[in-house]
Amino acid sequence: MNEQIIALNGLTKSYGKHRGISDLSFSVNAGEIFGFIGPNGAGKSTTIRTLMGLIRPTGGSATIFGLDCQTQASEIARNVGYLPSEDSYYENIKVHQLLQYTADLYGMDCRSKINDLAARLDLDLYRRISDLSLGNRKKVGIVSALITSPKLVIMDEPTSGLDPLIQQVFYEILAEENRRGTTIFLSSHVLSEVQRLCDRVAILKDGQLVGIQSIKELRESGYKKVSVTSKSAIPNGFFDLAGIADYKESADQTSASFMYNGNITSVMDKLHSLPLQDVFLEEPSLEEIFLHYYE
Amino acid sequence: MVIFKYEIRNHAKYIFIWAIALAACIFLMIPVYYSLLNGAESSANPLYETLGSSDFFQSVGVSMEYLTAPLGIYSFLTSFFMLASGIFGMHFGMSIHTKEFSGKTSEYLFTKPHTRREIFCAKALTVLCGVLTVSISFIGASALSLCLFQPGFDGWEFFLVANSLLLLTLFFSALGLLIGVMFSGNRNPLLTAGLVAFAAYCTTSFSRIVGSKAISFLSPYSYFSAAEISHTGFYAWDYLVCCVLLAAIFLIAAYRLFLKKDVQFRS
Repeated sequence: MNEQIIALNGLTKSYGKHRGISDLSFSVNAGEIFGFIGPNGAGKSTTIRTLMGLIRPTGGSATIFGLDCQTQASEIARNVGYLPSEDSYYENIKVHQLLQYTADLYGMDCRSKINDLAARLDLDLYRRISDLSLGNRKKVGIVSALITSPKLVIMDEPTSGLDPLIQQVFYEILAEENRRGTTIFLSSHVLSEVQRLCDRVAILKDGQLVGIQSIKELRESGYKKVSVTSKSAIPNGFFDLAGIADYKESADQTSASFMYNGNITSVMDKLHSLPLQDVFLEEPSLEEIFLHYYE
Repeated sequence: MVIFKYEIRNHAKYIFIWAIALAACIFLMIPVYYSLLNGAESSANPLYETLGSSDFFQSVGVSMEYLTAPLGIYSFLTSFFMLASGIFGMHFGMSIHTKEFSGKTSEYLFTKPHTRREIFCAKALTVLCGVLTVSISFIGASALSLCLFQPGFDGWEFFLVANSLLLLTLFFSALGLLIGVMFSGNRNPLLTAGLVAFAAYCTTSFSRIVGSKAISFLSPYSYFSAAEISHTGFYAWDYLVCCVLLAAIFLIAAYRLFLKKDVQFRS
């Protein structure tokens, strides 16, 4: 299961003054569900579009299945299902015609899979694409990406526009595909989605890779969220300890909250010396850990 | 072939509207114009004398002497239809690429297991089929109308004059393909095509009036003069070679750029 399906080696794309991506290097293993997280404009779509051979990198290289993403894009595409972030398809045809076109482009008979996925996602195959809502367009994209039973699925913001019930079904479908051996690479800024689905995540900030961690590691990074309420004002610089981040206090300085990954005894000693009214020591949500990366 | 079939199906309505429009117009205009200008014995007709002595006929490539020939009026009409077909050819060539951008469908098509070469060839072939359909329907309608209302014309000469429209449309479609690939973010290809074709048409008119051959090479409308066809029995070789050469250059440049260029995205 350690076969590398996707490998980026110093991948760079610059747009002159505009930010692109810079020196991205990581790999995705076979059978993995790999998340790619970052806020809007971090470079997620640029990375994915470079992987799909849509745009040419200005530096570095990327391979999928050991094939070069730029020169062998069409060979790679044979085994890849791709869901773009933009849910735009040919407007003047019906859903079943578009999906049939997708199947024809792959040279496959996908009728049973089309019907199965459409039924599960509650997608009307006989509606015109131009009449579809954002959510229904997303469903078309999901079905289009999965009907060929690809070895790798690349999805850019897959659940934007989907209602919670359909999201649930979508997660189930992805889990089934993954159990079947499909590697899944998805970008998102919805952390609960990544937390729920992914084995590992790459965090992107300003076009650069901040880190790659397993979800388990990310959670076990040692960060604790500490919330304190004191009977009297907390003196300035009272929590001036190594390992404190994202420190916030109330206007009257009686309550404070922060992230902490230092020696737990040190913070406990500090807390002991305060006239405490209340204290919470919590495991931070992935979102809080993630936001911490962006400080 | 899958992409080609889809593109043809997708553009069939557009192609047929242009084909029917041009065919119907030429079919109806031939008898109207011939009856208008042939009311009296050709050269004695005051309309000929008035129009024929102006620079106007010279600017559209029809001489006074040729206007009175059996295919004179047909050539005169064709010179205007060539403006329309030039717009069609260029618009079709451009929009087959820009549509992917404006409809945000590039990401769908370019991530399927087909090389860019296959995509380009399918699109270029679709444009070729469209141009052939429109031109052949124009030639067919012209032939039918002339046979019905103005029989006794020279078949070879007619073919050369009518075929000018096909060659010119092919030229413009090759130019359109190149511009479409270069500026795939163009949101108004019809306006661009109209402006380019009209500018080219004016360039030819200007070059004919001032008698500058150098300027005439700048516009494809100069390459096909009905008077020249009538006089020599074929197209002027220098212009024909220039036309074929430029069209080939446009096509090859479009192809090479298409293979290398980043796909454009509309946000």
